[in-house]
Amino acid sequence: MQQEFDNVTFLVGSKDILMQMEHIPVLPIFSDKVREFLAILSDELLHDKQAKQFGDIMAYAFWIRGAAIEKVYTKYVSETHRIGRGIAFQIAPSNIPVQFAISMTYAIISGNISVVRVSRKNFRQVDIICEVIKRVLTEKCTQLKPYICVLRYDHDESVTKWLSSICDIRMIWGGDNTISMIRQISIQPRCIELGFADRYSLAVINADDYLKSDFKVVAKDFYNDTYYTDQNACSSTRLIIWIGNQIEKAQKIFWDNLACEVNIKYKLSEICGSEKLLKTAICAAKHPEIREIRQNNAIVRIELPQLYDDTMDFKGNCGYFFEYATSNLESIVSLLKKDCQTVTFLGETLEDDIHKLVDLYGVRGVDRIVPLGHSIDLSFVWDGYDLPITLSRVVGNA
Amino acid sequence: MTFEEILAISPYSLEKNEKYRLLTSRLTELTRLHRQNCPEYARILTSIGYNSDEILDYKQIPFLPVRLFKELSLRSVPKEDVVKTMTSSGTTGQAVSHIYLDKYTSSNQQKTMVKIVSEFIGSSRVPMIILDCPSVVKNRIMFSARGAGILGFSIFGSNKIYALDDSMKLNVEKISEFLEKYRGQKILLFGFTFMVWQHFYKELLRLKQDGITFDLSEGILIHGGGWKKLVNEAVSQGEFYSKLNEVCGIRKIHDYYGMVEQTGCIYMQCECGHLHASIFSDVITRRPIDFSECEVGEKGIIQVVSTIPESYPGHSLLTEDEGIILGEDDCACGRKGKYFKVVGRIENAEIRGCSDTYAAKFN
Repeated sequence: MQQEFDNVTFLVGSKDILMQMEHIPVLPIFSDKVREFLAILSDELLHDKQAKQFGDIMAYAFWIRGAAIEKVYTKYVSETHRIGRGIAFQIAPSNIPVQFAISMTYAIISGNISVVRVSRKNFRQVDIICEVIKRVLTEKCTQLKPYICVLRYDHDESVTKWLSSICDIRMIWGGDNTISMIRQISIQPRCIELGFADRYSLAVINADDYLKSDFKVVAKDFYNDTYYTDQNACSSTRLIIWIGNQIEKAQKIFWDNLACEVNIKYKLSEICGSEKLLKTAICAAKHPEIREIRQNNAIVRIELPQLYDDTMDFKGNCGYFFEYATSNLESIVSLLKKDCQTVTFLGETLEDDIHKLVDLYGVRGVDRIVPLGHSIDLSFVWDGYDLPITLSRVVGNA
Repeated sequence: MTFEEILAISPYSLEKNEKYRLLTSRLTELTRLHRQNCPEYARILTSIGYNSDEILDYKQIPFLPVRLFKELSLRSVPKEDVVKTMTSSGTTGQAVSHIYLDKYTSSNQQKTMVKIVSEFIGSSRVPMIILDCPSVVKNRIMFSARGAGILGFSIFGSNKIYALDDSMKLNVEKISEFLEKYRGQKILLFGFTFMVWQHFYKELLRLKQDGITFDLSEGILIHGGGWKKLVNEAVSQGEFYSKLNEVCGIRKIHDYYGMVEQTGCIYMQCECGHLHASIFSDVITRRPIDFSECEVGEKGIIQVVSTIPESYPGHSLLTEDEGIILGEDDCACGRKGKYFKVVGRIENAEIRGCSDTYAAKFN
């Protein structure tokens, strides 16, 4: 089959590189070549004038800097005879600009050949990172050139079909609709597929421990967990569970401090107020016992007298929070369903407590339990996958 | 205060204080009525801690986002009393609003419309050209915004023709005959802004090149539906008027602002180019950050209140339009009440995050 690429823009790589990919040898996980490439890429990005203007590019560059990768590598050193699976075809999400680079990093660190399709939306971050990748591949890491393509194309299903027919791993980052649409396109029998779908996250705060903390720091941390991504990332906290004795006191201080942070830093888009009004109205029509607390439209809180099974159907963004106070942590088990990704915590014993709940009840959700403020930290373990392991294969012996 | 009492008052005759008293009385009464008869509405009020004793002014009455009518079925009358269901014009794949009307609310919508429009075109019926195609009003049970607009305005026509056939082609012969028959008389033309431009103006322009012209110097054009679709054509309001005038001599053109969710209470554009609120309704512009009321001259999100709706809780709504109040009681046209302009839809800002449901909802 002769595939046409007339409508494909290559941000990194070329048609020739793409056509050759099936014949390129895979690499061991954490190969020298890839580690070197990431270290140089990190360095170049951290010193790039344009890149410096974007916090998300800096966070990515920091994550892949040499020392950081070496540290992660130590965890995998014992994994001998582990090599890439082949071509990793990845579809990047349309709303998180740097996700394509993160995904590519997962693919190549695991020894694969990486093809990423980026969104049609023109993000500056995508262009900047791709320029630097191209430079590094041309000047310093020429050996990796055959391993990386970043493409953009319009409604051309034939390209997706062709890439799906040759890939060994397909990774789809996006909403549930995107994933199910792409799922209709078949892949090879042995190809593995990972769908990084829409998820929700929540926070558990022990009011008494909170009252002993630095309120301003917590406000900043919580801001990063939520407003920094318009509270619309999978890892964004949508619901806060309060436990402990002095909940009311803690809530007042918590929200007042957050309001200071939000009023200074957050630019609320104009539609948000009515979006939130709509969410509350729809939720209230079904669950009349809820109470809305609205200081202004940037922070809208919904007090829940109980946790409804469908609570998350009403989740909002850009500063729309459910709150639930309880003396019994076990009551949150109903929320730890498949769609639940991250649980952030603030409280001395909470990390253990939540882990115990997950184990005891065998819940289907919760892929991460991290301290409050760390929900968007980048990691090689994501959505329950240890990616260097999942994306590679082991050549076994007796 | 009953609606009949309001109907007895001339639409643009009340000064600020009198109008506020009227609105506060009628709208608090409607709030009470809907709270009693529409369970969902009652629940929504409870969730935001509504206390009727605290309401001293109609501006304090809670507003529902217009989009709520796309999400929920909101009725304040028994199902069997519903005589008409109006739907919003949603594009394919989008949810549409459902507005339930009983006989009383439906008839009050029409009466209100007559009172308002008569102030601009006089109270006697006139020959009318509808700048649309007949098929748009075929389904009388489910009314689209376009269909409802046409039927609403049709009461002003003594003899009516549709200017377009169902394939959207201008019926030149029929129009020529009609204009010949009513030569020298006042003629009403009605259509949606985009349709007027696309299928009427452009066709007239083409015909003019072929030497075929129409004389509409005695015509009054009323058009509505917003300017959104014309943005692509890069046509300003001024240009719209001057080009139409050039091509057929029409001099009287009135835009209007209105929505299916508050049919009847339309905001007509006066001779000075301003949209006017009648005594039947009002506009309040609000700041996006906290919904506080904007000053005169300050751009904000438009809230509309209407004294009509009794069969559905739509008497106080937050639109997704932005507008500016230009003044009150002192427009040079002599009409009392607020006058304002609509700036456009609230910008749907791109938000970050992994969820793609938000974008899907708007596309």
